[in-house]
Amino acid sequence: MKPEHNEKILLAGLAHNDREAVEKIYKENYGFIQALIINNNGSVDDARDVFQETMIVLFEKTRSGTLELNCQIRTYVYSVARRIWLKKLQQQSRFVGDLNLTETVVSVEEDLEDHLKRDSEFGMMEKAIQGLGEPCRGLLEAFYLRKRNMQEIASEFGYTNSENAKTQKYKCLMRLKKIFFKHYKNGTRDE
Amino acid sequence: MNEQKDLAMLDAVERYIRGEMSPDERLQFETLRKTNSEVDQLVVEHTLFLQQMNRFAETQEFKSGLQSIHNDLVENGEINASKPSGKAKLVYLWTRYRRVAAIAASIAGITALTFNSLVWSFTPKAPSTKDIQYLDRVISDQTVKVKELEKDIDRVKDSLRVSSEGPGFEARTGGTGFLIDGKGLMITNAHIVQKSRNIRVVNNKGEQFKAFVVRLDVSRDVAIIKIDDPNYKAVSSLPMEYASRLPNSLSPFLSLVFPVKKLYMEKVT
Repeated sequence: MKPEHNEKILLAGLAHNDREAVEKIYKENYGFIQALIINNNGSVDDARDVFQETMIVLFEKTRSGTLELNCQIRTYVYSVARRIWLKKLQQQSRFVGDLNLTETVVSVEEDLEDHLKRDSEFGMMEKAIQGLGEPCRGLLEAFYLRKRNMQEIASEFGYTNSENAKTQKYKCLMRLKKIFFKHYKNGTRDE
Repeated sequence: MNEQKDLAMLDAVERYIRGEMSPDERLQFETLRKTNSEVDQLVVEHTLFLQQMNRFAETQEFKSGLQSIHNDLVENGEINASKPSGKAKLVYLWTRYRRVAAIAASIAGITALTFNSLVWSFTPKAPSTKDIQYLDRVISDQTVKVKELEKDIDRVKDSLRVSSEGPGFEARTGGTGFLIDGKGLMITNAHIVQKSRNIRVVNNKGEQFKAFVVRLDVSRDVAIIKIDDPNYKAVSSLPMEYASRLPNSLSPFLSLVFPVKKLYMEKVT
């Protein structure tokens, strides 16, 4: 019963992006995922990419409130990493077939579909923000991403008062929304 | 005027979503929301947008945290992923098979010792002249055979050269290009094709195809050429695909180098 309890605490920590928990999960699972990738045509860099994407999937899952994994973290991570790597290999047409499995796997298709959708939304937002140009980009990042208040932002960016900074922020926000929703409604992040 | 109104509305919507309104203001706003569908739609849309922004911020923070954890763990030797990508596999194999290698090394040591003594005890005092004559003959036979083979190879090379170059065409300069779509568009350097009147593309089988310049950008030294030849058959798929967005810094990329036929993994930084 004890390890299960520990895993729950770890997952709760992960949901809050608690560095200690993330580091522990990282440390305990990286090695055998790297072995999986390297034994199946991958490099150390591939292993890092696949593992970090897997961590993001796990993070998203705990964020969405579904803390119940119904299996050990190890099994879940292995299953997700396997699917991600298999897909990458197929995209690069380097390999078609199945991987040499050394562990049991669980079905993770739904979680990966969610992840794919979120990943594409992430890409759209990233692209929209990058397309803004300064000072809009910095202004919005300071307020919405770094959660600064308008007073701090006004002095950081050199506005005479926070009202002016706020007006500017809303103007930038309208531009960003326009760009983002254009892509979002098309359901694609490409032009 | 209109923009002022839009900004004020956006401010109200955002304060409403963030729960920054006073109870009175909130009540007022909710009535407005019920009666004005446009405002209602704005609230729905902005809620979705703020969610996206939040999620983006969280994911971005998590991602950069992952990278720093990775670097820390590697630095402290707690995970075994060495930084230079070229050596990484070697190191990995070494640690994995370290014990096996140690055993193998000791076996090798023992065998070396045994062979030493075997060779020492079995070496004959001197080879007989008969043996030497025999070996001499074998060697000269082999030399003749090798010379014949070399001649054969030259003949094959000559015949290939004639067939691939074709009559009446002699290339003065050359260079490398890559197909960028199956129908025959290729990318190459501008300096290669810039001053050429006739361009031929040679594939890995030695077949030649006529081509012409589509676009030339001398300042970037890039040219797009198109194969225009009845013998050229369109390739259905290329062994690569186009990225849908710009690469992030630190993402791995491949550079193809010809004629070394090797793939190099490099980092964009």
